[in-house]
Amino acid sequence: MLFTILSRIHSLALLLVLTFLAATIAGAAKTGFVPDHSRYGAAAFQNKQGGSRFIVSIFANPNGKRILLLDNAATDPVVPSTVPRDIVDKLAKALERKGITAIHSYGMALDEIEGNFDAAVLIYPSEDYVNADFTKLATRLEAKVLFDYCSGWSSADADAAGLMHMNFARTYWPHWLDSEMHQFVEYMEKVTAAGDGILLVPSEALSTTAARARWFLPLNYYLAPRRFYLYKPKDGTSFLTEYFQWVKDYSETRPYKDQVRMKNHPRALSKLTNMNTARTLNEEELQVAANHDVQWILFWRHQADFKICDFELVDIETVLGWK
Amino acid sequence: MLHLLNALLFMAVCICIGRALLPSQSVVARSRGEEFAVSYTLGLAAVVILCNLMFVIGSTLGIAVGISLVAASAALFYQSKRGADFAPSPFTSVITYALLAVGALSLIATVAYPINEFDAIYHWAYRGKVLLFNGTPLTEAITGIVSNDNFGRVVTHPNYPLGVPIIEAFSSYFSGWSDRWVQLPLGLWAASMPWLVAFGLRKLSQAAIRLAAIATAATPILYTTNFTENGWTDLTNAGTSSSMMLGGGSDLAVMCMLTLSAALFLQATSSSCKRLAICAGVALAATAAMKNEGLALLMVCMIACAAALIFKNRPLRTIGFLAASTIICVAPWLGIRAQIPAIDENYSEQLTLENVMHFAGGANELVEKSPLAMSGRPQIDEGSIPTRRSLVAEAFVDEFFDMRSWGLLWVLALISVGLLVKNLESFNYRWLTLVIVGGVLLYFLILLVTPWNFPSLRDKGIPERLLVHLVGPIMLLLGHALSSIEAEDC
Repeated sequence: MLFTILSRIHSLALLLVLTFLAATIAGAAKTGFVPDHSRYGAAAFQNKQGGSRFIVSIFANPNGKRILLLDNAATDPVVPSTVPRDIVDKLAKALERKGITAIHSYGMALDEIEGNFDAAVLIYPSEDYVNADFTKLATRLEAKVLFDYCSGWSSADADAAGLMHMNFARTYWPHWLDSEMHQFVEYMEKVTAAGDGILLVPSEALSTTAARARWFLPLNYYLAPRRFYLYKPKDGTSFLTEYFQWVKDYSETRPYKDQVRMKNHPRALSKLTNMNTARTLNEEELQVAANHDVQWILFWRHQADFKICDFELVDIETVLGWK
Repeated sequence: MLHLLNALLFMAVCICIGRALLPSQSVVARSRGEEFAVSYTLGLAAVVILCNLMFVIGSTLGIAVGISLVAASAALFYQSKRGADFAPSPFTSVITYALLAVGALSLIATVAYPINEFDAIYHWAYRGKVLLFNGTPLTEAITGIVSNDNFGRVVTHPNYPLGVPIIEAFSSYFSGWSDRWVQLPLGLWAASMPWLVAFGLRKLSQAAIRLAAIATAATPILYTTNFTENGWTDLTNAGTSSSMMLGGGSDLAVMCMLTLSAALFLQATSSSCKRLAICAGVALAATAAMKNEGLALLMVCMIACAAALIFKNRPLRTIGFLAASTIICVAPWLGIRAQIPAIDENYSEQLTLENVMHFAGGANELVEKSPLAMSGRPQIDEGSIPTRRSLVAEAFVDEFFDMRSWGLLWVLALISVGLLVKNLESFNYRWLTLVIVGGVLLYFLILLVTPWNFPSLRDKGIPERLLVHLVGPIMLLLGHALSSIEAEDC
């Protein structure tokens, strides 16, 4: 009797199941049955100290630089991903200690903010700030750099205006939903043929062990049947432990050592010429390209955020011509 | 539209083949719902095995698709000659509509988004694309992960089985790949489960069948894990996290194939039907073709058969047909597997007596080297690293009492296993009990010797994603237990 009752109680979980299924379908319907970032947790800036070092590090001499902090006024409505005020204050103070002037916008419309700056930091992702006219903004930023603490700006739009965009907020949506990555996939689909071989070559030391930085996984999937070749894929595509080792291994091996960065090579998508990832190949890499009948070299910078300026696709003849 | 039609064609092919494989209604009666669920999953198992056979002999997916279409046409003709009067359903119309509604919702939830999970994309759908574009798994796209020059093809876990990829590739063979619609045939795993359980229990009381079938459909882990753990956030984000079980993964595929095999085998033993035993072998081989753990479960089922023979009622002939068809049907996959580099998951290498004794004897958990994997976890004090066995045991106990994922399933399983003492004379009861206990022990052993840091695996939903494979046998045992209690009460 008790056993039967327990079985019936278990069956009540059907209510939980129905709730889940209804919520899943309703949630998908809300975004037109296509997953987007809004279905995931809001991005968050997790550096409790304000992350001033990110900003300071781009200037050879930070003294006297002017940084625009696009933050909110106390009366502004709270928007998800807004950096908390105490962290903004810490950031401002830390910048001042380095001789940098931090100018707060306090929610003022971008067009109303006067003056020129060296760089801008997105602290408050209001509609006005997120949809900024990057072309106009670029004329007012000496260093042509955007620091994004809310993951609110499009790096592709910034790139098109010649601005270097750096996101420092943690995002919670899966990496295969990155719109810039899909933009790059579309470009590669047009440029390369279905059966082409593509050698993946990091342009420099791998600077992060973030799992999201493995952009070769989605590129390989979305661009199948193109053939992608990677350094020691057995480790690079494996569990985090092996991947961590792979990152260390590549950086210790330093195949990019003694190679020349081809900064003058015309960029296909990105407008950021000084960020060009193309470089000459070493003897081993050239041999690998020959071994695997490769038609293209995809140079890339290993970063958690996909930015089109971190990728450059170059045909093998051009690369061979550099040697 | 073409993508949807291609997926529906695959499902129709499976149903036609599956129906023809089953014995006539006069041998084993079944309702319309049971016929649909059993035929679909059995036909799917047969197609997967046929494809594996084609690959191992050097043929391609296209040939397998062609043979399947011809076989489905012949099966349709055969079925029209055979005729079919369906047995009455064990369910009331309210239960039938409720099960259909849950099944339909789970199907819609599966295709509500295109493939949207890491494993589903990189482990399974990538292979599906390889099969679609290259026609065979024995190609550089999978085997080329290792080469002499340190550079190779980008592929994760190359020796993962091809069941789900075959389904996806077949479902897009004529239309081209669609990240949404290749999932359609996979959306019926959870929906089929109550009917498979009902079929396996057909000779028992209707009350037991109903209760076991509803309990199956009500088991949350068939759809998601830990739902509501994060309160309302889980409602707004439902279907977007890796806790979603529906979709393009393969754990529900293993669960469904094992359930099908067990249901067919139970019917085979009670009706002494060799055709059903052969079908059960096909399904069991398909279990191994869905995920590496399926091969280990296949061995558990075989060992359980042998162990269950120690008491009276020994269906030796039925077991013989099961074993023979299983071995024949799993051979093509083993032949393929032998030609693919064994990377990451190599249980036969790990599950050695030495390894088991090492960790069972109290060896410490492995230190995770990746700082990323360690983020959010407490710092490890090197002097007090816990033993692997204590971590695994703790994880299992946590799971058994995780009502959000399992409801009361493990409590019911424990009681049902305990009732074995009253049902020792029943071969089916003994066999199911051994499969469940053996399955749990197997997963305990696998996790005991895994070469990975166990807390990292725990973060990825292990062991619940393994234990879900056993839901079918547990529900079949629950049905037997309920029926035996009912008989006593009478």
